[in-house]
Amino acid sequence: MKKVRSQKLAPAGFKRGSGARSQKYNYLTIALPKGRILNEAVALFKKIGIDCSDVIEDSRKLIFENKKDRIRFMVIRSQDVPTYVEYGAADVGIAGKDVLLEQERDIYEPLDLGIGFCRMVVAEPKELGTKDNPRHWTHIRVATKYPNITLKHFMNKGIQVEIIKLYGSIELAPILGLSERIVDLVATGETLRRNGLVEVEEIMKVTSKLICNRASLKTKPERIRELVDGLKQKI
Amino acid sequence: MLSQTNISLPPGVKDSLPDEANKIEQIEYSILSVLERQGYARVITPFIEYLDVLSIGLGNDLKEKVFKFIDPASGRVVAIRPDITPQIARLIATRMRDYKLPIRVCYNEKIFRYQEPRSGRPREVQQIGAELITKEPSPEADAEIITMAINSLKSLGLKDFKIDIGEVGFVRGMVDSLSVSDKEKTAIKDAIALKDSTALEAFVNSMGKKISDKTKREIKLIPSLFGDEEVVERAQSIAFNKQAKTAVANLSKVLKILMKKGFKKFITLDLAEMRGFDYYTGIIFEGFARGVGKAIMAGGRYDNLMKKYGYPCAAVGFAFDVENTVTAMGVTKIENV
Repeated sequence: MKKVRSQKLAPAGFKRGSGARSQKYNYLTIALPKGRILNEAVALFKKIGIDCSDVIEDSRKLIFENKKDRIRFMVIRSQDVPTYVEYGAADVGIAGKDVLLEQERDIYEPLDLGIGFCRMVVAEPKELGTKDNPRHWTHIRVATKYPNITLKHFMNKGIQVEIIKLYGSIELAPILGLSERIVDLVATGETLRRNGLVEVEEIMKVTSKLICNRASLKTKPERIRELVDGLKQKI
Repeated sequence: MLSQTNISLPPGVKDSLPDEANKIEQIEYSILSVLERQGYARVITPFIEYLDVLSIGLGNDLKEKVFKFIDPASGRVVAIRPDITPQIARLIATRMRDYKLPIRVCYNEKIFRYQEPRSGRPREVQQIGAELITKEPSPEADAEIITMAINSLKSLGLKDFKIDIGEVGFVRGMVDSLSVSDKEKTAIKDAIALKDSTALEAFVNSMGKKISDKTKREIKLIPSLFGDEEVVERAQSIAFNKQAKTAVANLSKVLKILMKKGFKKFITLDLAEMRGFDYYTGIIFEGFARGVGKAIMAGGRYDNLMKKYGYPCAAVGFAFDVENTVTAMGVTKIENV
C-alpha cells in the first residue's frame, strides 16, 4: 500500500487511464472516521483481506491508496463522513448512528457493523436527579452536540426544549449553569460520574454503520456487493 | 445605498452566468430535439395554480413542500407548482380530452419546492420531461419512455451512464401481503429503502410466528436485489404474492424490449427501490452518470393520477434535473482531458 503525496485526485468513481475495463476494476473510495472507531474499522477490513493499516500509522496523511484492491481510503472527521458519501466524494463510508440520525442524509445504510458501541442519553446533575421525574418536564434547557436528535426526542414527548449547541465538553454545561441537562454519548459512564451527572433516559444505542452513495451502488454494483457481503460474513 | 452583502438572493435560488446559461441551453436543445423528433409535443403550464386543484395530484410527500399564498383577487390559496406531472395530468384530462390516445407531450419548466435553508438544496429546479399517456399500461410504453431517456442522455454526449430500473409493485406486494400491522409494514419498507439489511433482519426475526420462516428468508433477500438482469430471476424465485409476481413479470418484459435495442450496458436493476413520488404505480427509474453522486433524471409509471383529474388512463414519464445534468456534463469534459 502506497501513500499518495501531492498527486491530484479524481473524484470518486473516476476511471484512471482509458479503455473499457470491467466495472470490477473501478476504484472504490472509502471514508473512515477519525478517532475511536478507526482501529476497529481497520481490523474489520483486515478480516476481509483488505489492508489499510497505514491509516493508523500516519495520522497526518488524509488519503491512502491500496493499489492491489483498487481502493482509496480517506480519514476524515466522523461528522463529515455522511456528507462525503451523500455527494459521492466517497463511495462508501463508516458512520455512527448518532451522526446519521442527526444529519439525515440521502444515502444507503446497508450494514450495521456492530463496532463503536455506545449509548446516547439524557443526563443531569445528581442533586437534580434525586427529585426529578421526566414525566413532569414541560420546558427544559439542554446542551448537546446533537440538536436535531435532541429536538425530535423531546418534541415526540410533547416537551418544549431550548437547545444549546456545543461542540465538546458537554458535561461542563450543567456544572456552570449553562443548561440543566445534557444529551450526549456515553461509553462507560465514567465521564458522567466524574462530573457529578446521572443518566435519566436512554435515547438510543449507537453503533457504526457501513453507508453507501446511491449513485455508486448503481454504477458499481459488483464492487459494493462484494464489500457488503464480505463484511456481513465477518460481523 | 445597499451594500454588496445586502444585495442577496433567498436560499435555494441562483443566477446563471453566460457559461452556465449556455450549457443549460445546450441541454434544453439536445433533450427537447430528441423528444420532439419522436413525436413528443411541447406543452407549457403555468407557474402557479389553485392549491386545491394542484393538490388533487400531489402526494403527501410533496404537499408539505408547496409554497403558497392568498390570491388577492379571489381570496383563494394559490400554490407554486412543486412538480410538473400533476399539471400535465390536469392539462390532458381537462383540455386535451379529444386528442387521440396515445398522447405524447414534453416540457421544459421550473418547479419550486420548500427545502430547509440550511440543507443547501435548491428550491428552484429546472426540469425537462416527457409524458406518455396511453389507454392501458403496457411494457411497450414503459420501454418507449426509458428509450427516450437513454436517447436523451446519449444526445448530451454522456457515455458512462446507467438507468436504474425498479418496480414499486414488487416491495409493495411483498410487504403489504404480510399479516403484520401497518406500523410494522412501514418499518420493514423503511429498512428496505435504506438497504439496511441489519435492521431488516432484526425486525423480521422479531416478528416471531406472524411471518413464516420461508417468508422471512425471502423478505431478507430483498435489499440484495440490485445489479444486472440476473436480478429478475432472483426476484421471480422469491415473489410470493400476485402483485409482486406481476411486477417482476412486467419488469422482465420491459427489460426484454430494451435488451433487443442493445441498451444492456446502460441498464441496472434494483427491485428494492421505492423512491420517487407517492403517485408511482409501476416501473420507476433513475439516471446516474459517472462522477455525479446524485441522480440526474428520474421517472416512473403513474396509472391513478389521470383518473384523479377525471380521465382514467395510464401514463408514464420522466424529468431531467437540469442542474445535475450540467454537473454530469462538466465531469465528462474533465474525463476527456
